[in-house]
Amino acid sequence: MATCSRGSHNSIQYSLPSRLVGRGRDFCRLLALTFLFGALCASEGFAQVFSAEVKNVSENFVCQCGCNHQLSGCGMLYCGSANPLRNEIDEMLEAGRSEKEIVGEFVAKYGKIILSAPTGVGFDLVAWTVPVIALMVGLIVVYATIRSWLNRKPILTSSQGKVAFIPKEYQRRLEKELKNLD
Amino acid sequence: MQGLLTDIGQFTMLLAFGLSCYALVASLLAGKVGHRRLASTGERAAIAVCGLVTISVISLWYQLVTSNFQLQYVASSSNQAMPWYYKMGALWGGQEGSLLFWCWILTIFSMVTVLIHRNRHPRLMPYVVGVVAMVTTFFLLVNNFIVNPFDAIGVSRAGEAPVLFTPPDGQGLNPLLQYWAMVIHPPILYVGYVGFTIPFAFAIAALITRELDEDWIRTTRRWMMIPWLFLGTGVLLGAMWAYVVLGWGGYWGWDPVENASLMPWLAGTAFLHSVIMQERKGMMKVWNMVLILATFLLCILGTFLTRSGIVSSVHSFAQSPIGPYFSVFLISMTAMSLYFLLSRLDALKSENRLDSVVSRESSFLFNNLVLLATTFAILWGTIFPILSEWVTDEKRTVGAPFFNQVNIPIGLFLLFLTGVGPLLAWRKTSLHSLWKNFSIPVGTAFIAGVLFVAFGMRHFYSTVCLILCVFVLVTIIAEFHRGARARRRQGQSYLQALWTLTFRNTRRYGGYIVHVAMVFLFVGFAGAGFDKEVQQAMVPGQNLEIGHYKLELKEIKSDDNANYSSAATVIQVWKNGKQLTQIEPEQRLYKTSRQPTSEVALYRTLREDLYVVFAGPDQEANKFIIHAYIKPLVAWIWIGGVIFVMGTVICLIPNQYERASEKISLRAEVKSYGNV
Repeated sequence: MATCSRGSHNSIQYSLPSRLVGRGRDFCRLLALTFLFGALCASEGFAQVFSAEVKNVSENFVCQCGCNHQLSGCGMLYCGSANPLRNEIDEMLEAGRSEKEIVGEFVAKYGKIILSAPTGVGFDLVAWTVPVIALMVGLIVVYATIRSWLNRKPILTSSQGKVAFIPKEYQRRLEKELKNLD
Repeated sequence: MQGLLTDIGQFTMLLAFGLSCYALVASLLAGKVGHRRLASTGERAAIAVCGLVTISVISLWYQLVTSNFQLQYVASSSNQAMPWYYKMGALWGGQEGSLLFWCWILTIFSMVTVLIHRNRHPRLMPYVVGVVAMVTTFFLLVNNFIVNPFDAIGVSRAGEAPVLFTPPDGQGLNPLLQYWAMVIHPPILYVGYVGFTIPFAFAIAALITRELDEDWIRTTRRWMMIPWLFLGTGVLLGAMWAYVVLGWGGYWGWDPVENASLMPWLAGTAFLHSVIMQERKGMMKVWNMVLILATFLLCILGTFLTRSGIVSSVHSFAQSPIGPYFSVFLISMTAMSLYFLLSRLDALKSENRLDSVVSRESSFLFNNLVLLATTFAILWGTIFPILSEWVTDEKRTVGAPFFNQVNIPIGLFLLFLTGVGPLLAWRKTSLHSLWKNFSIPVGTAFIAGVLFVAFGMRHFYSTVCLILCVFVLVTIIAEFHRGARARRRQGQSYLQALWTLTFRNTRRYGGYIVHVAMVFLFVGFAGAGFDKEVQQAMVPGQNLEIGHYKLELKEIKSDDNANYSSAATVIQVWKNGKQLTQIEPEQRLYKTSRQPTSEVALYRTLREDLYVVFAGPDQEANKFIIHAYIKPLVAWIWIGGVIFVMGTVICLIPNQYERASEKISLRAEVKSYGNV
């Protein structure tokens, strides 16, 4: 028999003897507990298990609940966006659609906002190319800077245009300081 | 009492705004005409503003703790059932309170700056106080006239004046924020964001006065490092919150708000490296100025993104229509920064030359390039949806796949430079020196790579990352060893030598410790390549297997208190046939907000986390759905965070060289000698 005990803080504990496991019936108290969950989450729905294939395809999409996560990773409980979309993917996979076809159908139905990353065509291409171009420009700037620094003569002139002279004593001191700091 | 304190809080906030305006005008005028007494009144006004805003904050805290639901802010961000510490935390749980809190931290920074520096930098300080007062005035303006936390709830009936209304209970703090790390995460993050105002103010002051010598940059570096420490810690605490509270098994989702906090930190990191070039070689002066200004502007941009709702974010709890005010402020600050920077370019010329491409100097340039490339890529990805909608009239989402694809290679190159940079000598690195310094780290990394592949690692980025981590760690250990060995010759024990070495040159060795922290973080990131996940509908007595773990669902428990109802699954964890522990992943339903949340159960080890989520009941089969994840090496991220704090704190301790260089500025002496 199932046991029910009341613990501290108004808690209800429920455990099930192993002989009942696997029968799939007569879980009246389990049902009662499920009912409690139902009451807890009445307006929110119930959790579901999805296959690895659904998860893989879901990575192409973003959940629309505002969490900004990929559909595969939305952790919101009873998410009103993630589970229906995952169910849709599940149904399409069962209907024999490929990943590419599912992505195409989702874009046609929900628009490109559903995709988790910009595509490689049209204005979306700008999203991918600009960081690379920026890095290239940065490399050119660094190269040019290094070249100009290499070609620069040591500045020993003061702001007034007089030739500066650094006595050996100071030079030695400077070298020593630099060596110690290194 | 509540009403009186509300009035006091509101009045002091208004008075603070007036005084802040005075501090702004008086300080800038005093700086212009060189009137010391006027500048002094500006400084005193800044201190008084801090006192007044403190009274406002205490007043709001009192309203929250005593549940004065007559106030709109208190009613929307707290309720009677919340424990006192969450009520205190509600100060930064909503828009109005968090802006007041932000302002409070800024005024504290302002007061501390005045007290420390008013005698040290008499020419700079009027402008420093003026610029800080400018920022403070903006925040107080927003707080007083746009989003006032002391606004009462009024019910307006047709044709009649609004009538005050007090609801019986508040809506409560967002349940997702009711977590210990969330009580400390925002304040730490805010200290980081706000703290960057001080280096910004010093930079503007130095540009205005043309006092662009070593002194201001040394002062600025310290002021930069403090917020950098806090921002970095805040970012990591936020990651921990996301990992434990959001229940999706990750710690970083490239959400716009996460990106907004990372960008100024990266820009600050670039500055903390390139400033060494300015201090040591008198080079990169313009660049350092750009980095200081950019870091502050990125903070404001981040705040604008967080609160305007211009980009979709999981942090939507802090959105409100204050976006236009922030955009005007951001544009004004950018324009001011650019004007002073461009008009003072002549005073920012480099003083030195480069002797060789293979040198520490070059490595700093590349380090800065990579850090800025990452910052730009993150900024670009964050704002691309806005640009795209603007250009194509169609909304786009830029999510984790974009950011990972762009930033992982850049991040790995940065990790590589972390190892290479310290091994290169200043001026020029000879071939002999290269061989001497690199042979052991490269050899060790190669052997590690072979071992990783032999033990079955196949994830490309994770394997490369771990190999680079070995390389960097060996270079750092070698650096410490070389220094300690030299000291041992003076008769010290090895540990004593390490200790003395570190504290004689805190900046260098503290920096290495921060690099060790980065290695730990990257080890943690690499673990993501080996994640495992299983979802299963279960009844009590059933088992779930994931990796070498077996999870047995023992029972279901429910609980109820004034704040929330909960249901937990009691799960026995087995590993390789041995009973390990019992965990209880839980679901909560918060009563006032009717929002369900997940309480993740974790079994942590250094090798991996067993991360279990109770997703809820399955309606059809009357089973309970458990999501189990194995998250390898995540603990290394949090350990890395602790090391990061330690390293930065060590960097902040002045060492003998810094004290000495404060007394005599050798370069200044040489210059002045040349002028004679």
